[in-house]
Amino acid sequence: MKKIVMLLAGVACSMLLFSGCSDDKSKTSATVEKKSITIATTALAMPEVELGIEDLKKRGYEVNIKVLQDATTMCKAIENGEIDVALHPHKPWMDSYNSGNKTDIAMLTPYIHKNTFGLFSKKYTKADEIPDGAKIIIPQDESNMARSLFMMEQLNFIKLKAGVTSPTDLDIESNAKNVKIFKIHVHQVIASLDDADAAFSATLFAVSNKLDPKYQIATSQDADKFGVGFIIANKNKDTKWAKDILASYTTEKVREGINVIYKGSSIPGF
Amino acid sequence: MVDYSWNVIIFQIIFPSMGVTLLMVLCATVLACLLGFCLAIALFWVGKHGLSPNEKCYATLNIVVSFIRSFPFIILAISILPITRFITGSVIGWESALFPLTVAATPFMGRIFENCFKEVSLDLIDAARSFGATNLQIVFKILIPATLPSIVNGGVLSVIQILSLTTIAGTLGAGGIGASALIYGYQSFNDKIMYTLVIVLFVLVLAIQLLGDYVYKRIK
Repeated sequence: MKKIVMLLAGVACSMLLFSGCSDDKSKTSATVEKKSITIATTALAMPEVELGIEDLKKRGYEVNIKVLQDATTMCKAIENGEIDVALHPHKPWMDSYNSGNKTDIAMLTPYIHKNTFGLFSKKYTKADEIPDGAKIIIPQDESNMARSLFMMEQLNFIKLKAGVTSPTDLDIESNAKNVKIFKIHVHQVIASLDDADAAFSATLFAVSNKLDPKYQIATSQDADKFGVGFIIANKNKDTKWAKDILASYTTEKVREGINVIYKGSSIPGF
Repeated sequence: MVDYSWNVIIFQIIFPSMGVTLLMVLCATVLACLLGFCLAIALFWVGKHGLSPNEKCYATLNIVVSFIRSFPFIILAISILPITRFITGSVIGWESALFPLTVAATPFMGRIFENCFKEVSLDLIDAARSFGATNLQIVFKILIPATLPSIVNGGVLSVIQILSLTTIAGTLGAGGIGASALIYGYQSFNDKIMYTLVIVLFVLVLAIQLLGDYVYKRIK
């Protein structure tokens, strides 16, 4: 028993020590001018991030890039101060992360790019042709699922409960076409297209899976809502370095680069 | 984040996914047990102190087993998608997930059963052979009866391993408790659903373990 108490006391002390440390760090970083910036992104968006590095270096910053797996990891790293900014999640995802986790990570505007989204099928050439009882694949993460469901409602496949901002398939009120919905990991949606009648996906994954663009049979009208910008701890959003990052990434060079890299699956957001 | 009522959580999430999870675990366990068992017998048969040692055969089998086991499950499942499609006719749904589950669990079970067999005293096998027992007789009359309790123990370990693999199989549209915990919990930032489903999984693991322990005691 004694040992356990000692151990707990030790842990508590070290936590105090460490929390003291991080406080000191944030104080110094606020007063001393920031010279090095750590940007996180995914392997997929790496070429896009590289477009602005040179310009950022010209502004006198040392730039570190970290490749991370997913947006949740990036948010945790921002909360811990391990990275300064990240480019990957889109605005609705960021909002739902913040409300779900009671955090306040900000997204800088203007956005850097916007993701386009669509309906894909190898069996039908128009959304209206999709028959009753069709097998439809949607991505299983919250924001892409929501986007698919909204688009399905737009196409009159289903009706969602009124007022839901981020619906899942549990929020379908009526299923007029009686479609069967399969939820699949966002990276696997296009690879599974052969086994379904149609699939909803970000155009990005169709491009990365080298799917012929002719199979995109409808495009969502909501690209403006799905902007991707740099995410940053709320306290840092008005700093000079944050403004410098934005300046380096809203150039003509980046605009052209985005068009080349993403082949239309993401369009410049500024 | 949508805050679902317990009614929705229990009847629209837990019940349907529980059925899928149980079916997947049951079918994959039966398949992987059978195949893993054959694999283990084969490994033991040609192994160094086995019934009919054959170094090359053993080395080949050994490498294949280790090769499959080295794949992270999600990568294994994705890389065998074409084979899955060929065999099951589709890559989505729980029936299709059975194939990658079986492929992943078979070498795991094979290795565990092989280790059980290795515990059998070589003297016992030699004695049986001196009485004129054939290799098959040794397997069915000595090897299996002598190691049955440890086989059951290893089996329980494998079943729980398969249960955790079903979570990742949910990536392929298989559904199930683990996948629902990811979709409606983790990816939707809904801790209530996430931890509720983890508790459901915990109860499942507990039940499997208790059942295994009971069988172990009965046959020991």
